[in-house]
Parts: sequence; structure tokens; C-alpha cells
Amino acid sequence: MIIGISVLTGFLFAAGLYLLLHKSFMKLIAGVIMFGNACNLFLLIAGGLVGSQPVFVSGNDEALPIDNMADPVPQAFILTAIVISLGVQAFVIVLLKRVYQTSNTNDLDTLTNTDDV
Amino acid sequence: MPIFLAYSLYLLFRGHNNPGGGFIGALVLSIGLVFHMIAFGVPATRRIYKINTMVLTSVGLLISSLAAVSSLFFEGVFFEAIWTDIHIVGLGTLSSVLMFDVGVYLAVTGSILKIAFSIFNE
Amino acid sequence: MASVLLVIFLLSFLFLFLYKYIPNILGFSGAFVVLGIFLYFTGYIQPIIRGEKIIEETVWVPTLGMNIRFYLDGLSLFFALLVSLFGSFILLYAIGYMRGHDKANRFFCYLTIFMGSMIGLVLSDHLVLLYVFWEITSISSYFLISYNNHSKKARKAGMQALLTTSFGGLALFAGLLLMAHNCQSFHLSTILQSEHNLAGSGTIISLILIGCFTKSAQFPFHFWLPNAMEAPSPVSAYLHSATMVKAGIFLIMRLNPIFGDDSLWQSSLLAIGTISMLIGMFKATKLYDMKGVLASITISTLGALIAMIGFGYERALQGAVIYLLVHALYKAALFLAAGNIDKQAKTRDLRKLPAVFRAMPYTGLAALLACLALAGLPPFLGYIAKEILYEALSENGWQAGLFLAAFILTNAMYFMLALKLSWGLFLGHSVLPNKIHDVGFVMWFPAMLLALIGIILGLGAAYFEPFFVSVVSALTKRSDRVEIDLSLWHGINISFILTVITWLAGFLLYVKRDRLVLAINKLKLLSFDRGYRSILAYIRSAALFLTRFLQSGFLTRYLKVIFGMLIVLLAWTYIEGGLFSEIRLDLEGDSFSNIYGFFPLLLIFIGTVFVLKSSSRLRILVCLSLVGYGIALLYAVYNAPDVSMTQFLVETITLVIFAIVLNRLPKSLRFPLEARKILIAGISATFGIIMALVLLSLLQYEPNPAMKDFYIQQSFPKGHGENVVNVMLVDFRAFDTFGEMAVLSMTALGVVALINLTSGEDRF
Repeated sequence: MIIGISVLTGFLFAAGLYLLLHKSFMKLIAGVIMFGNACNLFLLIAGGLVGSQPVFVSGNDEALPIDNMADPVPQAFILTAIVISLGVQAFVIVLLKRVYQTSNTNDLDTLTNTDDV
Repeated sequence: MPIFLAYSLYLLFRGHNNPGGGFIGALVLSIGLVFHMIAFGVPATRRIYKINTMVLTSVGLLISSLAAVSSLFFEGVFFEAIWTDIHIVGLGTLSSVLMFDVGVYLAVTGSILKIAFSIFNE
Repeated sequence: MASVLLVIFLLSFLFLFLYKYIPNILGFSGAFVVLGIFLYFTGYIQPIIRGEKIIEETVWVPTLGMNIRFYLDGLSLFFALLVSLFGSFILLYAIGYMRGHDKANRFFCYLTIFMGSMIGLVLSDHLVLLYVFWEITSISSYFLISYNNHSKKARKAGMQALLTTSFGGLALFAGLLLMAHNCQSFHLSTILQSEHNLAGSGTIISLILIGCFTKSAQFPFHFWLPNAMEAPSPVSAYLHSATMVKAGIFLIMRLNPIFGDDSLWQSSLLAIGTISMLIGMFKATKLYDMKGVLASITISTLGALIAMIGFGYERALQGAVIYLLVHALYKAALFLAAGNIDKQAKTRDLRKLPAVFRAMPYTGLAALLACLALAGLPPFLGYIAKEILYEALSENGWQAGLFLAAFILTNAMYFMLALKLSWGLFLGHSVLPNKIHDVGFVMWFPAMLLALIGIILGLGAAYFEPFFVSVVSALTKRSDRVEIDLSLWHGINISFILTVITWLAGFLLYVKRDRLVLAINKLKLLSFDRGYRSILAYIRSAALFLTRFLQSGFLTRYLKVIFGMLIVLLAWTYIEGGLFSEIRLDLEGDSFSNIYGFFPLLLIFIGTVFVLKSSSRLRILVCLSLVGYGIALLYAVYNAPDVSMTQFLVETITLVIFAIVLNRLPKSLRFPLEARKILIAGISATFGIIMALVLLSLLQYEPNPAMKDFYIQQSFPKGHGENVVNVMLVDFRAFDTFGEMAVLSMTALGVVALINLTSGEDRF
């Protein structure tokens, strides 16, 4: 199962990069999103998929079943990362739209000359 | 739409002990507003809910930073949490942490709405 | 001593800002201030003679051991006196020389900055401080050489000098750092006294020597000095004969006690010194440009000095110190005279010059005196220096004998050149253009004074003996002092005979000078100037090629390069660490093999495949969110409810925004054709495989539970919350969250800015 996720994350990375390397704006955006997802998954797995319970503690319990809980550290990181990647994605989408409107192309490799933009 | 608002507020305040919190609350609220915007157009949304997104963002940032700084006035360090003993039903315990979360809530809502509005408005 | 430097640097600022308004007042007072500094340093002569060593320290960054430390012993005092005395003369001279130039304020500023850094260089005890001053002298030299910035030649010469000396400076820096590392001290005074045996450390020696040789214009870096003669004459007199080029010599002398016994040190000093001496001499005979001749003699003399230090015994070192002083005196005087002639007669070509002696009597007299010193005639100090060197060389071994022969030849050439200069230039031609008249007092007086000091020192040399003894004692490791005999007449001994031979040979060479020039012209000397230029051109084209290759302007290629590098680095680290063999596919121990887990995996996989395959915008969009929701489900399965919720919501918002934007784009938009899909696929597949492997390796390790335990245990007592992840976000790691909010707000602002850009297009 974990192995499956690991391989899948690798696959997501590959897919994200594959899309990133395309000339098309559309695929570039898809690549950025895909890559962000892959990174988040990477964080989650790298933190170790331990425990079988969500991390909730109760103030009353004396003995906390820590060993059974998932690790909260990667989760907190991922939460931060997700929101930032939302910002980045929105920015990229708008930026590329803007570039398209200005230079009237959706081919990255035609943007070789900055003076023309 | 009020349901979205109510639910998001609920999420915001229960976040400390259950799934939820500032981000999630803000996202729920923004999704609600964005759908409203798609349905009725930006001017309608603006009119009905009287939102100035940039003000929302800045107020959120301000509240959060105040929460961060506030501990300095109580002989604490930057970002040290302060807890009061006042309990309000539904809101939990008043604290600088809660204040911070409210700030997050406002700022995130403001930012996302700003992005959505500008894109849609164009 | 720090205050001296402050005064000088302050002076440079005054020159920069006030020179336009009060040129004369500022110029004269500046010269007097520098003279005052000279007098201040003379106050140290007595303590130094008594054998004291003075260390002054100003604390700066004590935790890093970066303090401003000055160290004054015989050697540094000698150089400080030299630099300050010449500095005041040159400032005085420059008042006249630069009169009427519109950017003279800058000139004076650079000149005083140079002066300050040169004094700092000879005084500093901290190696880094020394290096900083060393580089400032290079930089100010660059500005001074290309001062006449309308002239392309001057700019090129300045650049050449800068590139060469800073190349050497880098080598020197590396050498100094290595030395400090080996001795575990940055302080020269400590290194000089320490017992660390650095002899035999070839890298340090060669690096330091490269630095010194570039600075002192020694073979094979000698080419920059003649070109640097584009500089105004005061600069040539000051930097390129008396002081800056001697910085290399200074450092060699300074470090001689440490490396003096090393055979590499000795042999490279000897070899390079001798070669430079001969090359400079031949070059000097060939040239007709007066300053070029002088510059070549400088190369030659510096070479002789370096070789002399290479011999390393007392007499040779004594000779070297005195010879250095002599050279500075006559060469500066000659350069000043050349500057005067250049200014009045508008030419420096030896063949075109009229008989200036009659038109410019004072300049002529000063130049004549300096020429006599060059020729090594009594009663000049030059005579004494040569005597000592002859004596030192004639008493030791075959190498010394060989060098002695070369040295006699060189001195004979000097004699010939002195005759040529003084006779041909000042006394010979009778053509006398009317309009040439002598320069003003401030311009001939320094030259005259410098020449006269040569005589005074020669006559009263005995008086200065103790000081020279203390200078030379700084050059050796031995603590006993060897007396110097500086009297003019020793009776008829071997060195006197050799001197007479030199004079005769020199006279003979003068008589046969035309044939000599022809013979030398036949010697095809390698042009190092050309070598420098081709190296430079090569570097430039290589850089151009690399830039074109890496920065083609095609964005996708940038990405390919970046990720290609990343893959190579990752794969290298991975294979190097032998991580691959550690992977154990432990299928049985997998505790999460439940059916709920497979569903999101399937969802993600299918979504990704469709995104890759599809060519419709809408389908890509939908499939992307499929992937996103799949990942959200995955989070939910793996006990991260908050993350999962956030992912769901974020996915929704991205979908909406994306959809709105797509809706606004024209329907007819086609995907551009992709070339070389296989390459892209290859790169990304490799990357994916490596990432998956890294993950699999990571899984072999148990994560350190310390952090997890801390947060879980402290969540309620300290954070008053039961949802640990949220408590972390808003309490323990609230500062991160705050930064994240700021980022989001910034993106919002960025989006607004992008959209609100008017479509005028020229506003980019």
C-alpha cells in the first residue's frame, strides 16, 4: 500500500514534469498543479505514514495513545503548503492568461525575445 | 448563502478541538461567495454582502499581527499565546490564538475573493 | 596608525568634493598633511632602531577574530616612509600637472585612496586586512591608469592592469588563507614568530608568488606595466615605479623569513627575477617612448631585486633594500621629468624630442641627476647599492656568478640608457623650438628634490646605517644583526673593479647603440601582450558559448537544463550513498492494506493518465480535479482530516478560477506542436523514478518520534486545544502561518496588478 503510494507519487512527479516541459500554457498550468500535489504527497510519505488515528488529544485522558496517532508535523507542513500552492496556482493562471493576451501566443518558446512582449 | 457563512464560522471556532479552523472556514466562505458571484455577477455579490476584499485582507493581517504582538504587552515573547479564562459557549476560550485564527480567516477570505473577483470582473 | 589611514581617506573625500572650488589650497595642504604623516613615521625610527616592534589593534569583530591590527617593524616603517614621502612630492607635482583638467578632483581622490591603501598594506598585521588593501591598490590603479577615459587605449590598459593584478590577487588570497589555516593565525606578527614550518608547502608558495609577480609586473605578467604608461605621469611616477609595483616586493620581503629556506621559493625567485631583469632590459633598449623605456627599466630592476631576495644572504638583502630605495628615487624623478617634457613638448618619443635642457633647465637638471643615479655613478646612493650587490654576488657560488654576469650586463645597459637619455635628450640636439619653456616651480621642484635626496643619502649614507640594519633584520629569521657599511669608498677591491667594468661596457654599448638595437630587434621576444589578448578573447568566447547554451531564451529549455541537473545531482547522491540496496519491499508488514486505500489511488492514477493523454482543455481541467480529489481522499484515509478538508476546498476553488479563465480564452486556441516528446518523456520518467526510489528509501527509516511526541503531548497543556494539527498551525508554528497569509495576500495583490494592467502594452 505504502509502496503503491510511493510509486504513484513518483508517477505524479513524472507527469507534472512532463506537462511542465510542454510549450503549451495550458499544460504548463496543469503541470504546476500536478507538481504541487506530488510535493505534498511526498511530504506526507516522507514524514512516515505511522499511526492509525487522527491526531486528536483529549484534555481528560491520562494516558495518550501516542503510538497509534499519525504524525502531526508533516500534516501541518502540508496544510501550509496547500494554501501557498493555491496562491501560486492562481497567480500562474492569471499570469499566463495575461501573457497570452499581451503577446497573443500560447507557445512558451515563442517568448524568446523579452523586448517583443 | 447564509448557510455557508454560518457553517464557515462554525468551522472557524471549533477548529481548535475538532477538524476545522481559520483556513478551512475561510475556504468554505469563499467558495460560497464565489458561487454566488458566478450566479449573480460580481456587482450583485458586492452589493449584497458589502465586501471590500482588500480591506478584509488587511484587517485580517492586522488582527493576526496584533494577536502576535499582543503577547509583548504581557511580558511574553513574540507570538506567545495568551489565554483568558472567559469561556463563551460556541466560541470556546477567548485567547490571542483565537484572535490569530480570526485574522487568518479574514485574510484568506479576502485574498481568495480578491483573486476571484478580479478574474471574473475582467 | 589607524588614525593616519583615517586622515588620508578623509583627505580623499575632501579632494573629491572640494577640489573644484579650492584647488590650490587643498592641493598644497594635502601635500603638507602627507608630509606630516611622513614626519609622524620618522618619529618611529628611533624605537625601531632600538629593536622594538609595535602592534596596534582596534577591535572590530572580535568574535570572528577580525580586528584591525597594524604591525610596525623595520620593513613596514621603511615602506611607510617611502610611500608617505613620495606621496607628498607627487601631490605637490600633481597640483601643477593636473591644472586645468576638469576631472582633477577624481584624480586626486583616487591618488589619495591609493596612498592610504598602500600605507595600510605595508602596515597591516591581519592577513585579510592586507589583502583588502592590496585589492584597493589594484582598483585605484585601474582608475588612475584609465583616468584619461576618452582614450580607448587608456581604458584598455587600465583593464589589462586590473585583470592581471586581480588575477594575481585571487591567487594571493588563496595563498594567504592557506597560510593562515596552516599557522592557525591570521596575524603576520604571530606567523612570523611561530615555529610552524611552512617551507615545503609548494601550493602556498606558488599562490603567493603569483600574486606578488603580477603586482610587481614580473615575467610572465610583465606586459601590463608598459601599457599602464597611459596613465598621467604622476601616477606612473608614484604607482608604477615607486610604490605599487613594489608591493609585490614588499610581500616577498615580508614573507622571506618564513619561506626563505625553501628551495622552491629561492629557485622561483631567482629564475623569475633573472628572466624579468633581462627581458625588461632588452625591451628598454628597443623602445623609443620615454615612459615605456622607464617602465621597462622598472620591470628589469624589480626582477633584479626579486632575484636578490632569492639569494637570501645578508649582503644581498641589504643590497636589495638600498637598491629598492635608489630605484624609487631616480625612477620617480625621471618620470616626473618625463611628465614635464610631455606636457611642454607634447611628445614622449625619444627621436622627436628637441634639446629640452636649454629650454627647461630645472627639469633638465633634475633629469640629469636622476640619470646619473641610474647609471650608478658616485656619489649617488645608486653607486653604493651596486657596490654592495657586486660584493655580495662575487663571494658566493656559481649561481651567484652567473647572475652576477647578467647583472653586470644589465647595469651596463642601464649605463648606456642613462647616457642615451641624458646626452641625446638633454644635451644633444640643438634644435630649439621657441615656445617651449620650463614648467612651474611645483612641477620641477619635486623631481629635483627626489634627485637630490639620492645624492644626500649617498653622501650621508653612514648616518642611516642603523636604520637599514633594522630594516634588513626584518627580512631574515636570524635575530643577530649584521652591520652595513655604507661608505662611498672602500678602496680598490673586487666590486670596484666590477663597477669600472660596468661603466666601460656601458660606454661601449652606447657607442655601438644602433647596432645593438638592430641585434635586439632580431631577437624575436615572445609577445606576452598578444598572449594576454588571446586568452581574454578565448575566455570571452567560451563564456558566450556557455551563455548561449544555457540561456537560449527558450523557457522550456531552461526547465530541461534545471531538471536535468537536478536529476543528475539526485541520482549521484542516491547512488553514491548506496541507498538503492537498502530498499526492502516489505509487503507483509504493510498495515494499511485496506480497500479504502486503493480507491483514491486508482482515482489519482486514472486522472493523471487522462490529463496526459487528453487534448481538450475542459477534459484536462476535470481530470486535474479528479486527481486533486483523489489526493484529498488519500489524506482522509491516512488520518489527516484537516489536510483532507483543505485539499477538497482548495481543489474546488482552483477548479472555479481555472474554469473562469479558460472560459475567457478564445475557443480556437490550439496546442502548439511539440517537438521531441521522447526527450521530455525521458527526462520526466527518470525524475519520477528517482523520486519514487527516494521515497522508498525514506520508508526504510523509522521517523524520529521526538517532534511528534512533543507536539502531541504539549498540545493540550500548552495550546489548550485538542486538534493537534490546528494547534500547531495557530500556536506553535504561528509565525509560519503568518508568513503564509502574507504570501497569499501578496499573490492576491499580484493578480490584481496583472489584471489591471491596461492593455496599452507599452507599460511593460
